[in-house]
Amino acid sequence: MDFDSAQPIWQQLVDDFTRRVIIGEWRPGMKIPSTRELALEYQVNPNTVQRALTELDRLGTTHSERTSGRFVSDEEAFLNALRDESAQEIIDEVIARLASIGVTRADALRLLKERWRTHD
Amino acid sequence: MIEIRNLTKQYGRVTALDDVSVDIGNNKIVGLLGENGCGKTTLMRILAGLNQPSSGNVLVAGHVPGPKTKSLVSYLPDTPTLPGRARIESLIRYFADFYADFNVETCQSLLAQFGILVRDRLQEMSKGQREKVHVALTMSREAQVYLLDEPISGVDPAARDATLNTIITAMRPDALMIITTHLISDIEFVLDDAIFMRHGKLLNHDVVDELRAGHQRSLNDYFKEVYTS
Amino acid sequence: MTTTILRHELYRTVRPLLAIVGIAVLVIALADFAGMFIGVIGLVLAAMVAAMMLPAVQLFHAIDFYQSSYGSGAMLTHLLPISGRKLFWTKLLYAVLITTLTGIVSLAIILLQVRLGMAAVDLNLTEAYTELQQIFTTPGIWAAIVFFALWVLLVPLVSMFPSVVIGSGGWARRLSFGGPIIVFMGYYLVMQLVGVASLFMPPVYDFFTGQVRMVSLWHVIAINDPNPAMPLAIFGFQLVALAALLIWASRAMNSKVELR
Repeated sequence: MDFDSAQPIWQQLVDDFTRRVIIGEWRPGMKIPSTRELALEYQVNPNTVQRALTELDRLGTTHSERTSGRFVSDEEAFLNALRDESAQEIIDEVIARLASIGVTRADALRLLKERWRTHD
Repeated sequence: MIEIRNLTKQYGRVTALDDVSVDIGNNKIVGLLGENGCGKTTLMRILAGLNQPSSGNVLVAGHVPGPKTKSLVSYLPDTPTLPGRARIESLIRYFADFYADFNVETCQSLLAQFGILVRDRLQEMSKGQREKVHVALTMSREAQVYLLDEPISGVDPAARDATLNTIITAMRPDALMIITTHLISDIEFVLDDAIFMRHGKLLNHDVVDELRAGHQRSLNDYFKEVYTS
Repeated sequence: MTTTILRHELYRTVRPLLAIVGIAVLVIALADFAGMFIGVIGLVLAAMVAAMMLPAVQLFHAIDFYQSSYGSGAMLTHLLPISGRKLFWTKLLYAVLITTLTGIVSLAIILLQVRLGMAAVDLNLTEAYTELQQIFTTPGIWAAIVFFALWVLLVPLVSMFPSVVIGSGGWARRLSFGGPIIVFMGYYLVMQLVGVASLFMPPVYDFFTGQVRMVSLWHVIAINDPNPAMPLAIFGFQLVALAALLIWASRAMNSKVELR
């Protein structure tokens, strides 16, 4: 993963871990890789991974069982909310950009429907 | 873990270290960064017990560098020091016999990963492979302090990655790793803290993520900034 | 830990030592073989080579000590979790052990040459042994022999090893092998001067009576005393100097390590 070197790494890790949960790479209830494995995968300090994972626990995206490891939440409601939140961020960005070039709401919705059809 | 107070080192008229004071705790990977000749190697050698301070105090885990500290400090020098004629297996035997914290299995698996056979002699290998052997031996010790002087600088990119992976894997919660390098971009994502040096003086001691959050730039850029000021 | 250090000293030096001894033995065998044609001179040559084995091994140990502690092997050695003091004394002990072994082998070969020589010139062995017996029962002769043997075995090592340590201190940073040589030369020079001075000092060892007499060699010569005598004061001074060098070196290697 290419890090933005001007932002705290642990925060970027939290974002990428969340992404993996949302797209289903880390499935509900699945045990995620260990701190060490993740540190090697991302080529970062295990401490940084640890910090990111602690934050994931705090957000409720994961929970740790002391001896068995760390697991993705299996609460469907929570995971849907997570996806919605991510989607909202993208949509807000799109809305802002479309607005800045003068696209109206009606046109935006029409274009979205058309383009989504071509993507299927 | 490491306490340094007013450390000065002079070689004749050259001042290699100029009144350096710093405290470094454990459970971190610390980058000791600066241009060539800024004093980082001298500092590492004094911490390793290979040279003496001209003045000032150095304590590693509460002891002055000596036999006690050498049993818990694993040092990787920037220049090659392993005897060329030695076979790898005799070097492993040497480390295993003298260092209680040396893990033979770890070393063997690291060497296997690097594709190196223990019956080989060092002088028959390429420079990159020799460096990997030295990294394998150094990191197979379960030490409290690792002093790695330019572990990734001389080496081809594939070996660099292998070395970084070895460093990441060997990191333990009770350990302290100090890594010197002048290739900051390659290593910045692995560092907890960064210490900058120039002309024998300590410039900064920062937590890297705070630098990113506070200054909104990469460690490499921040370093260039500090250096040109 | 001492046995571990000794073991690794052996691993490191076994090849060169075998090479030195091997070459010597080869030359000795050739000289003995040649002796069948060129006579006793071959045996004399063989004995000389056997005698030279000892200083050769001693010099090897000094050079090896330098290499492993301050030369190419310096970093590996000084990173060991062992006090410099222990390293110094253990490495010296190893050199002493190997040197003693070499001395015994060397002596055995020399005696063999003497035996061969005596057979070659058809000496009456019984006569020869009786004469030898007389010499070896002179009072004090065994003390002198043991003293001489220890001196020859130990003094070169005990003067070269500290020279290596002291000559590798911070002051000699730029000199590499020159530092130890300078220190050794300095010690040698001082001992020569002291040697001259001790000609004028008591005591002396009288070879005929096997006794120590509290007069100086100068006195012995001045009064035309016929008994051959040897001044002893020099030995006393040298022992003191060597003891001082050992203590100095042990301290220096313990706390003042300054690698290049």
